[in-house]
Amino acid sequence: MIKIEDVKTKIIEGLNLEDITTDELKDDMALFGDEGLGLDSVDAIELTLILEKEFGVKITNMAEAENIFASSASLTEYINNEKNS
Amino acid sequence: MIFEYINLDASREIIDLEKNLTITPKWNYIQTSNKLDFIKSFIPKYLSGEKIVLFDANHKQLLNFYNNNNINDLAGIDKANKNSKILFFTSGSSGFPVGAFKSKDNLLLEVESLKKIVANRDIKRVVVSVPFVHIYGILAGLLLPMELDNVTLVVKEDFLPYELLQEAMSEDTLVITTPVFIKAMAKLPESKDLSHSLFVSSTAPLALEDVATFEDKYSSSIVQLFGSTETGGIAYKKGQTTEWTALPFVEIQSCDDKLSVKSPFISNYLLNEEIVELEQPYITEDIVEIKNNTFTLIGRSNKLIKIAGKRISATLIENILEEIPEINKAIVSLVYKKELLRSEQILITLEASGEVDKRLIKEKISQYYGIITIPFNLKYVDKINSSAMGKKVIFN
Repeated sequence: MIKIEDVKTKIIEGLNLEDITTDELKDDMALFGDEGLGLDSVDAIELTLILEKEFGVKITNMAEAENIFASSASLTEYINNEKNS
Repeated sequence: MIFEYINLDASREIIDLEKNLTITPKWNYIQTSNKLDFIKSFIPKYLSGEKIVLFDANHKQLLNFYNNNNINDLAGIDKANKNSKILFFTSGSSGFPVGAFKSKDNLLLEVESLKKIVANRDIKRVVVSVPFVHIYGILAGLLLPMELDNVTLVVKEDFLPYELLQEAMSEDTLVITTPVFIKAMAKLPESKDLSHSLFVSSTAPLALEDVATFEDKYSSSIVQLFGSTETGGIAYKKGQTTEWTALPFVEIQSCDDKLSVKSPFISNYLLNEEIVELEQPYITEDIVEIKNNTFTLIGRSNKLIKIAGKRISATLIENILEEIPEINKAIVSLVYKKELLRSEQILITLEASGEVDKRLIKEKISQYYGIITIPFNLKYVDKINSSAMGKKVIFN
């Protein structure tokens, strides 16, 4: 079972987000868009690489990614579902 | 050319383009929304002879300029109008965008030059991962496929690395992309034989090791393009070399170690607060070593930072940030993070009375640079002093 804090740490480290902590990155905070963390399409590409390298899960299409990358919580849920399937 | 659009759900559709063309030889702005709407709007207008202004509507300065000025009424527009087809905007050295008028000859000769570069390959499909607002996307991603025989143009709003890999696996595919995708695909754990596909990359030079990793992994080739909006393409390189070769029709020389270019792709006129005629040869800010028809990039002669191929003025960003009441002084510097897809980042060092919301900084920067993402990190220091020469200096 992957913990959400571990996922947040990998997001922050992998995307080099030096000015945000895991505490500040709320579980349900939107990762993309101006209202949330403000990630963009290049970050989405980077995130797919981080997920595969760090957690062994693969995301192969953008439609799927839009839902999975909604927040740290949805991302963690996806990783755990994939690992249990 | 057949235009195939991949929807978000991966379904595909062949898009019919408007064929009832009306000639309206005035400058008209095309809203750069999504790729599908853009192509449906751009191609008929381009073919009709309409003069097209392209810029990113998120760029507040440009939007203000466009709202307050009718380009058709600008002083000197009659001269610039001669044969002009597209007005592209790019970040200028002062920070304010510069418009580059491109004539039909500028564009078609450059496409002809690109065709020569890929002439040794059979191309049946052109897959485009780049946006169309800038000159590279228009030339390589739209005008080149339009000039190639019997090709299908394949477009999707955003690709993930596996999606682009999947598209590149079809035989005789030309992929128009950027260093971000080359580096991302090089990091995928699986490898495929893409020897029947060719990748074209521009906006920023790739590190030699990234090219080597990609080409070894996929048995494929990368052609990199070098140039700017004002000059158009200047040079290209294939594979793992540091030497750039001048594109067909382009002459290069060294002028005080700077790259000097004579080329039919160079804009005849620029819109730089007013319309000015551009003389050739055009001297770039790139410091180079020239050898015959090739050059090696040594560096840049000014303090402009290039991020994803776009010129970013450190001084301008410092001035913008120093308008924020909490910020006393700011210093902007380039940081290269090799391990990231977006390797070029800026570090903003601030002397401030309190922490500044990163979203405010992002918003301020985007007013000047539009949708170009400028990745930045913040660092706070107690004091930024100025030297006797007025240069800001950090004391920790």
